[in-house]
Amino acid sequence: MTCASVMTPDPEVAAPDWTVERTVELLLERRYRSIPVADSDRRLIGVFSIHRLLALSLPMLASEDPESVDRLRWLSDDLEDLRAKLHRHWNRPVSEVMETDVVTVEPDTPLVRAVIALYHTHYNLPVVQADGGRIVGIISYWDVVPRILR
Amino acid sequence: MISFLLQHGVPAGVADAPSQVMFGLDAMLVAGVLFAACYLMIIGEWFNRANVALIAGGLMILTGVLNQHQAIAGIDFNTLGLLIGMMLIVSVTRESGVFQYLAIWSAKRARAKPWGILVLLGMVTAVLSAMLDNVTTVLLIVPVTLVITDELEVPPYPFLFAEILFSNIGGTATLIGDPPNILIGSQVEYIHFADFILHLAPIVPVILAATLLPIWLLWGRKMSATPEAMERVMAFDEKEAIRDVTLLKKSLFVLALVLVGFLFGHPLGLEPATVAMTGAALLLVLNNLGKDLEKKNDAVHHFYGHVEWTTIFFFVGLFVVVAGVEQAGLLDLIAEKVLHFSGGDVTTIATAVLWVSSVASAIVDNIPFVATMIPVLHKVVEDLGLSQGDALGMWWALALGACLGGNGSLIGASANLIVAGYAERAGHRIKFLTFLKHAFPMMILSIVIAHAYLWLRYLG
Repeated sequence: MTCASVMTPDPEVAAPDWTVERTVELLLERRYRSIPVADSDRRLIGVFSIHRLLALSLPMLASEDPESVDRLRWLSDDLEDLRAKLHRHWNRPVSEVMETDVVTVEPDTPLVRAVIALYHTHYNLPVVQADGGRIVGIISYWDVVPRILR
Repeated sequence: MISFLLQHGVPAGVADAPSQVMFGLDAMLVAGVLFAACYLMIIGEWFNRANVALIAGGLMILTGVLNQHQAIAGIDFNTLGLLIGMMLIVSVTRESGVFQYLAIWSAKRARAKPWGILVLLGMVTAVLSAMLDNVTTVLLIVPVTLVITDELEVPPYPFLFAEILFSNIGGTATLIGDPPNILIGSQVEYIHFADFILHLAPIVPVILAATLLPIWLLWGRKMSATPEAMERVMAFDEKEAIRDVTLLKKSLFVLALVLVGFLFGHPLGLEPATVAMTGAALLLVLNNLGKDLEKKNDAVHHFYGHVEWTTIFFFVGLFVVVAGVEQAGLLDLIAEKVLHFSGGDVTTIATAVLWVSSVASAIVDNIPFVATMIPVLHKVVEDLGLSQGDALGMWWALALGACLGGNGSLIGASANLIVAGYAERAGHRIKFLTFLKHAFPMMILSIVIAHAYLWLRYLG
């Protein structure tokens, strides 16, 4: 089975000049885990995810250190402080804060490789054409888990 | 260890064969080309510097500039042992949370006022850099600094700038503070741990104070934060930063032992590497007391993984490269030129060493520079027939120039690049030219002070 057989074709994408605010609103409205960021020719240039959203609302020390749940007990922040931190990024273009080192698959990639990639990443997997890097689909947990269970 | 390796580690015959350069080429030419290529590759940063040094070191042997025996004899195991031992001790100690505690404590001691925080965090950075390596220090202090500046809603650049400068200045004070000092302390047999404290540490507070003045004029006098922001910082609970009180006590106990060993070990024949490695092993054992076997093994793997092995292998390769140019006679030639142009005047040589090493260290990695300069200066001291006391000024000029010169640019020292990298990932890019504009004049100021100090105490 290949990625083409399970992907959602022609997914919605964000433009690189969208603000963080606009991108976040779309994520929340659609309840997406992530959204690909692509240029006007739909060539993938990055991904903005809920994971990045959380990182923007936390001190970098918290998002970089895997043991920070324990190490940052001294922080006094509450949810209002996290919101304030996030809002400082509100008007930045999404291209400045997106993940750029993105794992992708191609339509004819075996599905098992997509499962491995999904296990290791924090975003839905963009499916791109081998030539040109245009985004043609997206694969989420919900596209593969039912097929594993079946 | 060296004698063991020399006796048992390499096959007899091949190892001891006199070096003979391939195709009958001139040894000095081959060594010089390899050395220059290695330097260029390190400066250009096209490849990892450890790989470059190891390949250049390997080629010194393969081309016949050095035999196996000479290559291994060129590796300074005292430097390697000291670096590895201190890296292990720091990697265990940091788990206690003591460094975060110190950073938060100093911010609260300053009543969360931005300028006070900058000064106190800078001082903590300088003191820690004198006792630990600079990269580790900034890796521990900078993340907490960014949390604090974020809470205060003030630009982090002046804080990070001060921490970079203070880290390199603080590291100048001790043998273990900065790699150039580790090299000098390991390879100049009459300079010991206490000598660095007696001869270099006194000038460090003066340089720190002089550096604070332009930082205050540039940024400090305009710094302010809202009462709400300062309250947020004052609400940090530094006691919560201490994750393991027992480990903290064990770490402080071993650190104290190691410092005593550094100070008083030399008359007993204990080199700093022996003290640091034994201390590290003791701390690893103490940390494992009461743990089950699986956790013990996990902990040991974890801490050994924190040793910066690329730095260690960089040193290994570099030592072999320097041994190659030394064996080929190139460094003697440089020493002769130094003597010729200086007319054999110690003051002129020390002054040139101070200024050349400061500017060179701002442009290139100061480790290869110092590793090369040490045998050159040994030769100069020998040819001039200087006593150990008369030679001191020259060695301190090298230490001050190389350590302080690291402040001249963003690529001048490893700690600078580490801070810049972390800041960039946090969305606060430090621009190369902006840093150069601020830091280079301050580096020159520090060298002027160092020059005056050397002149008054050793050269005048």
